[in-house]
Amino acid sequence: MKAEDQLMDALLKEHARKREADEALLAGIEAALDGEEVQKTPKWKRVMPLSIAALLAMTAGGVLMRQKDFAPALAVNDELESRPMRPEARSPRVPRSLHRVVMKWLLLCRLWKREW
Amino acid sequence: MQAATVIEFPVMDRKRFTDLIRGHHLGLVAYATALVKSEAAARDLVQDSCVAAWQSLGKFDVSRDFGTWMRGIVRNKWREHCRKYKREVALDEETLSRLEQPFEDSPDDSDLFARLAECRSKLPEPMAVVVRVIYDEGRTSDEAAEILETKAPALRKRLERAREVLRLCLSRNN
Repeated sequence: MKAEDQLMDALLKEHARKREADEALLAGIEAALDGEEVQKTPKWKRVMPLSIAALLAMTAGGVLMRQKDFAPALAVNDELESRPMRPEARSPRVPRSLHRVVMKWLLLCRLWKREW
Repeated sequence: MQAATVIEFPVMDRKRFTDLIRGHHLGLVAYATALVKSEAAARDLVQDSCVAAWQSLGKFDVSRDFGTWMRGIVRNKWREHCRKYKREVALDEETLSRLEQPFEDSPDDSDLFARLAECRSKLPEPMAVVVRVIYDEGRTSDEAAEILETKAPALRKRLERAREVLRLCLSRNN
């Protein structure tokens, strides 16, 4: 059947049905439009809270899991740091507490890298 | 001094959109059926097109005909359908233009079907009888051939000619 013939066939069928509204189709369209309205919330608004929660959970989990592994290394580090440093080796401009934090951070990074 | 006439178009909100769809969906399903050759696929196509229309409602010029705009979306969705399932054969632009003709200047389905009823009333009696038996009474072509005491191929040919006459009548009414 040609497309034009098919069109007239479909129109005549609809005409014979007394042109009653196709409620099932209209309900389907309404439902589809409702779904679209729900999805109209910007994607970043839907994804951002989930991403932050996942990141926090991963960080907390990672910290808890790694604390035990890092304990011996940190103990060695603390022991080394507790030894008196030669005056010429210590930078006069960097406070000792900051130096300790940086050293611990570098150690953690090194351990993390070795682990993965 | 004569005051300038300002035409106010209704705001296109969800309710207005739903009302317009209600007023055009039967014609759209018929149009989509001509494109995809299946009523079920046509209904899916119309539903997808309505969602696409709703998403791009901002592009719709309220001074334009809603039916024409919707059929454009149905056509685009159908082209996507053709690309997705390469078995489907795309229709040429000339055929698509002929498909558009019966709808031109029809503000909605009720106007379209009123014109179709008018065209049906002008059909020659042998054609009108075939259309009535096949569509209004819902008979198959074999049953109709038996009732009208004719051969089935001849009846199918007559029916095809009746549909062509109706299509031309709808197109001329524009």
